Amino acid sequence: MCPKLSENNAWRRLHLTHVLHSKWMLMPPVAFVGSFLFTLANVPTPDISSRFILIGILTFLITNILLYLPVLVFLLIRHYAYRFQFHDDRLVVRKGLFEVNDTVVRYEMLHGLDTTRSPLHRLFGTVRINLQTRSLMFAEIDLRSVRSSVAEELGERLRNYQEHRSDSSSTEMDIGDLAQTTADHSTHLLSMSILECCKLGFVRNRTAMILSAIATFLVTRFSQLGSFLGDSMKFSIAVGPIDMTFLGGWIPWVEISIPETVDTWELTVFLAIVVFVFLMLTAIISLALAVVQFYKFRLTLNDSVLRGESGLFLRAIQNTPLHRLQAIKIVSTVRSRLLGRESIWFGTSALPSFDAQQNLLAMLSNWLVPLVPSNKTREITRHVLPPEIEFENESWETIDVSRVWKRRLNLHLVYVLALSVVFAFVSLWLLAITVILVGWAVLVSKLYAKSLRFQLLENAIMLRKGWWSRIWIIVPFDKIQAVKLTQNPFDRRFGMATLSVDVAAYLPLYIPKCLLRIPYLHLERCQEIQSVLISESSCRENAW
Amino acid sequence: MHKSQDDSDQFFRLGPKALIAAVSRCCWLFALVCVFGMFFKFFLGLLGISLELERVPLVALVLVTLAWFLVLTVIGHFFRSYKLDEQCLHSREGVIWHRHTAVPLNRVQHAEVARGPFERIVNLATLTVHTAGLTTYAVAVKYLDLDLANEMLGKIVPHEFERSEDVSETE
Repeated sequence: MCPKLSENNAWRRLHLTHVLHSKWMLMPPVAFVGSFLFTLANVPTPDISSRFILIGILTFLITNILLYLPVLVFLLIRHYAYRFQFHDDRLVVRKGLFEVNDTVVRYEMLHGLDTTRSPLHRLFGTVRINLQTRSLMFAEIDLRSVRSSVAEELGERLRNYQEHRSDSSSTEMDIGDLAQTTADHSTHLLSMSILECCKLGFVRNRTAMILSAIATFLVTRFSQLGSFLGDSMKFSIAVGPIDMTFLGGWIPWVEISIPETVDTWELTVFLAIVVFVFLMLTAIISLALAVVQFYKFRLTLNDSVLRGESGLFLRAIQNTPLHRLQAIKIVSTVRSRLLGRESIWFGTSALPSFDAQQNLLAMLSNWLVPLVPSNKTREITRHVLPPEIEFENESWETIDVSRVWKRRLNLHLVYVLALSVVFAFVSLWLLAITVILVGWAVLVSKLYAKSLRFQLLENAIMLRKGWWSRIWIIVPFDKIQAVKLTQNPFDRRFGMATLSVDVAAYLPLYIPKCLLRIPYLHLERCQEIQSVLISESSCRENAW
Repeated sequence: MHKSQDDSDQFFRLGPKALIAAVSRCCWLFALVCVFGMFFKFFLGLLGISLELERVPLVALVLVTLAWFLVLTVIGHFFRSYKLDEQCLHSREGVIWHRHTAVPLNRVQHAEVARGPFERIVNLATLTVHTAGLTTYAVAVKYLDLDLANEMLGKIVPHEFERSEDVSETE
C-alpha cells in the first residue's frame, strides 16, 4: 500500500541531468568502437585513406544518432517513472511504469550514506546520494542526481529524526550524524598526497594487471609487433573447434604450435618485448587508477562517524557510523612492506546492490585506508575499534608448528601430485619440476605454520596469518553471528579442526568464505574457543 | 529422540523415522534425476544426437550410484545431531567433512519450521534458523519430530520477545 502524502511530503523527481550519468549513454559509442575494431582486425589489408576515414565518421554519426534515440526515450521514461519523497521517519522511492514499486526505508535501518560529486554533478550543482541498508534485496537507494538543497533537506530530516529518537529513548542512535557534512568537531586521521597515491599504484596493481594483460594481447595481436619476427618463426595460439594436439589432445579447443626450427634468440626477444609492454602498461594503469580514485584522500572521525572522501573526477564521500563496523582487516603485502606501508579494510553490514557491485570503482572503495604508514596503523585502529580492544597486546597464541606444517604439506602434496600427472602426460622430463615443487611445498608449509597465530582478547578475537602477504583480522565478540567447527579426513587423522567465525560483514571483491578462519587447531582447543566465543557473543547485544 | 552415547554434552541424535524420511527423499531425488536423464536423452534424439549406451553397464552404473548415495544418507543420519541450550543452537552433520555449527540465540533473525512431502508422511519437520552472517546465514536441523520442532521454535522465538521486552523496560 502506498503511503499517504502529507502536505510537506510531495513526490520529487531526480534532476534531469541524471540521464547523462547512465551507463546506457555509453552503449552507442562503445558498440560502434567495438564493431570498428572488429572490422579493422578482419580486413585483410586495411586501406586507411581519407575516403575510408570520411566514411567511418559518417557511419559513426549515423549509427550514434540511430542508437541514441531509443536510449534517450528509455531514459526519459525511466526518469518520469522514478520518484521519491522524504518523511519524518522514512524515505519512499517509487519506480516503474507498468508495474509500480514502492520501496520504504526507515531512517533507523540506514547503515551508510555516501555522497558523490562527479564533474557533471559539479557543473549542474547536483549531488549523488547513496543510502545503504542491510536488506539483501533492494539494499541500496541510489538517488543519482539531486540538487544540493535536496541533500541538505535529507540531512536536516535525519538530524531531526536523531533528536526525536534521543528524546524518546535512551538507545544510542547516530543516524543524524550520517548527515553531518561539516568538519567542525572532527578528528583528522589521515590524508594522502599525490606521492602516496603513486605508492598505492605500485602496491596494489592487481586490477591493472588484468587490464594490462588484455591491452598487451590487443597490442601484440593488432599491431606490427605480432609480425615483427617475420615468417621465420610461427608461434600461434589458436582458439576454436580445431583438432588439436596440445597436452596430448586433453584440451582440444586450444592449439599451441611451435615449429621445430625455432630461433631461440628471436623467441626470447619476442617474449621480452611482450613482458616489457605488459609491465609498463601495468605500472601506468595502476598509477592512473590510484590517483583517480584516491586523489586528496582524507579520513576523519566526526564523533562516532567515520568520514572518508577521495576522488579526482568523482569526488566520493563515505559516512559510516563506528558501531556499524563488523570487522577490520589489515593487509601487508611484500610490496607495501618495501615502502613501510599497510592497508586497512573494513566490513560493514550494508550490502551494495547488484548494480553497485558492477561498478568497479564502487567495489574498490571499501578501503578504510588504502595505504597507511605502518606506524600509523595502530593509531587509526585505536580510534576505529572499541576502546577496550588492546591491539598492542602481543600475547599471541601460536599453534603446534611441528604438526601443522606436516598437515599443511599434505594439502600441497595433493596439488603437486595432480600437477605431476599432467606433467607425465606432456613429458617425463617435466617430472623434474615436481622435485623442486616438493621442496617449495615444504618451505611454504613451514613458513605458513610459523606465521599462523591468534589471540582471544577481552572483547574480540584476532587472527594473524600469512608470510608472503601478512593479514590481521579483528572481530569484536558482539559482531559474531555464528561459530562453526569443521573437520575433514586429514584433520581427523591429525586430531585437528578448523574454526570459522561468521560476521555480518560485506567485503567487496571477497570470495564468499568465512572472514575469520583459524585452521589446524587442536580439536580440544578448537572446541574450547568455540564455547568461549559462543558464551561471549551470547551475553552481548549485536549493534548493527 | 535418542541421546548420543558418546557425547557427554547431551547432543541428540535423530530417530528411525528420520532415517526413513532421509532414505525416501534420497530415492525420490535419484528417481527424479533418472527421469530427467531419460528426457534429456529423448530431446537429444530429437536434435539428431544419439546417445547409444549399453543396457547392462548403464543399469550397473545407476545401481552403484544409488547404492553410494543410500550409504552416504544412512551413514549421514548417524552423524547428524543437535543441541539447543539456553545460549545457542548447535548442529552437527557431515560424513566426510564434519561440521559443528553454533548459533547464539540472540543473533537469530528469524526461525521457521518447514515440512516436505516425506516429512509430512512420517510427521517430521525441518527447523531453520536464519542469522545475518554471510556464510552461516541459515542453519537447518532436519527431520525433527514436528512437536519437538515447534517446541524448539517456541524456545528460540520467545527469546527474541524477551529481549525486546527488556529493551522496552529500559526505555
